[in-house]
Amino acid sequence: MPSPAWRRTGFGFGGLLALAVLFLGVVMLSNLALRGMRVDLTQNRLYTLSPGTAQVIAELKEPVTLYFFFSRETASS
Amino acid sequence: MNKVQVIFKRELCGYFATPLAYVFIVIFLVLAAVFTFEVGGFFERGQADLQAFFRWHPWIYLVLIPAISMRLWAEERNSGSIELLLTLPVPLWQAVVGKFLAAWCFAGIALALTFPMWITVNYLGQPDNGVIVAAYIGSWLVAGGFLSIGMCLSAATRNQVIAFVTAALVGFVFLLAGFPLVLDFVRGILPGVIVDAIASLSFLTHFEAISKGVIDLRDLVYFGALIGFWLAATAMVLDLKKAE
Repeated sequence: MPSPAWRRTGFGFGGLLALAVLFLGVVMLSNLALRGMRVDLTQNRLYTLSPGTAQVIAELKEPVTLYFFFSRETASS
Repeated sequence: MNKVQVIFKRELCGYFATPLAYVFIVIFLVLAAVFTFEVGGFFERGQADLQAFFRWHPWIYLVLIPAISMRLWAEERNSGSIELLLTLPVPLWQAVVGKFLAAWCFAGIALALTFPMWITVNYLGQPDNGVIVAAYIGSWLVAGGFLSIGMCLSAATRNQVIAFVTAALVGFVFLLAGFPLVLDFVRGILPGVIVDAIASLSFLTHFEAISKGVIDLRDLVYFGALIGFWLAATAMVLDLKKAE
């Protein structure tokens, strides 16, 4: 039996829970779906590929393998 | 929409009619400066940027924003004026949005008054002003996130002290979810996908991404969804507790 408060408002704790699930869903989905839509406000466009780089990459014919070495100890000191 | 404006104006003027606004702004500015110069090592860094200034903002907000948000609904409930407000011909969501926008605007005014920092760093060197603009936007969004959390918890109680403590606690959880110490600890237990999912729920992750100088649509969606969620939750809580 729904409580009187539930019947009066149509919401309730179930509504709050559904809202929380919706929030999680929106954040997770946007993490997956909205990649790459960004505005780079740095003066030298630090986080954007320059046209020259983009052209060089476009002309690559073979797959490129990148090796990235990173030391957590030196980075934190 | 017009009623949102009326409530917005009344609330914002209300802040400056009491000592609350001035006390808050002075304490915020003093804390921001102390953290920047003493803890952040602004001069010792030897770099013309405001990272030492912005990285403390979420932690300052954690303590100070609940002080604004705690009274939003708890005070109305305690004094009984909530009855008057809710029986006025104003839809509930408009009252919620109006109160939130006024509080957020007030936090924005306090944030804008830190402009001497920006002048100082421009006087001392040549900082990347695009990064500073992005970090200001990010900082304001974090303040909005804390405010919306505090507002919802304020609606749930008539005691302002409880509203303050619970808002600080929930805000702390949202901060810690992105804190490197916690993430490194969790990474040993849970798979990487879940760790990233937890990190993506944190203010810190999104604030740091924006304050690098890149405004990503995902960060804006996160803050929009967060504020929207807590505001909708506020309206629901008010509706649930109408009879009390």
